Amino acid sequence: MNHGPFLFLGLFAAFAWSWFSLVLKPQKEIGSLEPDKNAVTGEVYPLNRAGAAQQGREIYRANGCAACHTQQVRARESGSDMDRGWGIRPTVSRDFLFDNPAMPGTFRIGPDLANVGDRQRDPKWHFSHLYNPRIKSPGSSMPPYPYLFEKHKTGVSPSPDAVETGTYGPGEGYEIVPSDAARALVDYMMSLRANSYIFEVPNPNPPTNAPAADTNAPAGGTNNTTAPATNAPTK
Amino acid sequence: MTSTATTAPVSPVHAPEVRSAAPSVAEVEASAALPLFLLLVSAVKWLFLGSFFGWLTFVKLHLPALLSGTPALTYGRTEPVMWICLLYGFCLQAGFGAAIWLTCRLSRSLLYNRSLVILSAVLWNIAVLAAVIAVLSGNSSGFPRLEFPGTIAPLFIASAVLIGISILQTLHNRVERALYVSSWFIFAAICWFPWILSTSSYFLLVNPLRGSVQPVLNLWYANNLTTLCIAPFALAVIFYFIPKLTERPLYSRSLAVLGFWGYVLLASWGGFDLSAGIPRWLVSVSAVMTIFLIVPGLAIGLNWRATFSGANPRKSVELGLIKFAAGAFILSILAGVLTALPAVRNFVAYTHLGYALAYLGTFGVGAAAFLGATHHILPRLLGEADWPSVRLSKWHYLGTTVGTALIVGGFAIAGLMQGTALADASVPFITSVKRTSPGVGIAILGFLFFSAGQVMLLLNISTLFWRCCASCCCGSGPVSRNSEVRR
Repeated sequence: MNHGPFLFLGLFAAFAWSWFSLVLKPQKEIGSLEPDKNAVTGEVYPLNRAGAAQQGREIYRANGCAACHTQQVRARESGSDMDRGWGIRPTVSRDFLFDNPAMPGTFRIGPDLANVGDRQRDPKWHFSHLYNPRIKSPGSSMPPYPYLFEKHKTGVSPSPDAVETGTYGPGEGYEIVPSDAARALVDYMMSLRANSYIFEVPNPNPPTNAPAADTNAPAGGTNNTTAPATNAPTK
Repeated sequence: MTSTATTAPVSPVHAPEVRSAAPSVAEVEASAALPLFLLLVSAVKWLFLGSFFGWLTFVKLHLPALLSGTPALTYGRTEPVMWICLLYGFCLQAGFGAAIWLTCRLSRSLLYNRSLVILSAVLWNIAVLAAVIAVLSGNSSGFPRLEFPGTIAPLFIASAVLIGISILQTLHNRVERALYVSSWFIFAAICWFPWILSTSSYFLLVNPLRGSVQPVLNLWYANNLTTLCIAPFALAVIFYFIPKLTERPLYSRSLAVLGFWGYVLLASWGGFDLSAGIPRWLVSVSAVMTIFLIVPGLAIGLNWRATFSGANPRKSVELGLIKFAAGAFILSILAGVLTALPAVRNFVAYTHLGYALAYLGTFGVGAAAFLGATHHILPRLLGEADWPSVRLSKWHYLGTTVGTALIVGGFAIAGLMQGTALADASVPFITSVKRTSPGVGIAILGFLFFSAGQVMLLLNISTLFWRCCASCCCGSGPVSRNSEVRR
């Protein structure tokens, strides 16, 4: 331990061991994944997000939303995520395939967003919630984002895009409308739908070939197999 | 187990006889004085700024609408800025400063490439400032602990490499050929940081890997940054100052060897505690390695304990801070082992307990050790026997230790309350957030204490410099002015 070169070689070996095992091996395993094509439905998952949703991901990144929100649903044996209705299956690496940066998050000061586009399908709800979270979620500790909205004088008739502001309104004669940044962010949130069963997490109750009318039972019981391409933004 | 310390080649207490040509302690310290001022004083300023941002960030959990109209000060931007200030602005910078001083002292050698170190210190601070501005203006990379844009990473790498070269040259030209334990840890940290930052910034920021593997690389970087870049600097400081301040030789060099290699081999594997979105084998292997970390943790802890045993050292602020850092390191190893167990991990995943562990490492181990070193180094470099105000020093000690205890304890309480609520799907999510309020409140109080403590230190530093300047203007040199300085 008194010779620098010996120390250097030992440290380099320790670093190489860590790098090959924890960086290179995972890269070999999951670094070249491709979208999965469902053999039954032909559905391809994941699709790259639409342009507006990709812009919204930049707003999500710039404002550090991942500081409070995760995008990862745990399996039932690891936590209550699925019982809370945050997803129908656990999150897997393939869910982040087209994300750059991938933002799985590490804290849950807010709820998980892996499937928020499926849980809350009304964009107007999201606009109100972003303008001031307490309009829709009383007691929420999420900060308001007024800078993502514009305050306009109300014209002859209210704008169809005017945001519902509840008791947090801008005052008589004014209305709040979402900026392009807010629209992009909501497009991104609507695109968060990791709800397709794929190779790694197959459907535990696959639909049968028999017609539903003959069996008098729900086929599959979930919305995934008939869902449209999941990352398409909902306008 | 027998004590081998008396035969240890180098010890802070029993320095060997050196050649007559070797520079004196005063000459050695004078050679490193300017770079050390730059690094250590800048680091303390970043620490104050980081703890202020910490206070502001967590106050927002109680008052979400506070400053909400200012995009730069929204929660999602102040939180990463806090980490940039604390990790890059303070911990790494103070770590480099402490490493330079320790290397010069242990090597009995003048600092090599002094001007390059000064340039590096300036570059480093420009890089931290640029990173803070980038994140506040919405240009965060989105990767925790690597939040700055890819264009800033080369500045950090260049500074770290230049400082590393200077430390290695100083070490290479050492008078006493044997290396003390602190030098091993410094060697590890100065090699590890450029390695992990260059590979992570290239594959995440410059030429990103596919999204599926990005979380893995990000977790690997975040864990290595704290456990194998910042913690080794802190361990080097603790291993130096425990024998130095207790005036007893290190108990066992063999135990230190076991602790060093065990820690370096195992600590790099931790941190993969997310339960979804990364390969399951990574989570399992990481947990096993973290549990094994108790072996080097115990080797290090027992060595410190045995060195302390029977000693009756003079009470001082630096001894208090070093003891606090040593205790926090052992606690962080034990907490890591506990949270690596699957049942506990699932219970506390994504809760504020993560913050408790992060602050235990950053404030408990890093800040306490580096502040202890700063407390010892700065007055001596300016030829003073002690700080201008002993009272301010004590307040600084109290602010740092009580603040850290409140922050870690508050977040631990919040995390456990949150975990209890999250585990039960029948409890609404909003309830889990509301239950964190008391714990977060305690932590906010802790940030106030901690920030106030750093203000005391900054006031003391200002007075120290003012005295030095006044003294220099009267014609006497800074190093030889006070013959009472305890080396």
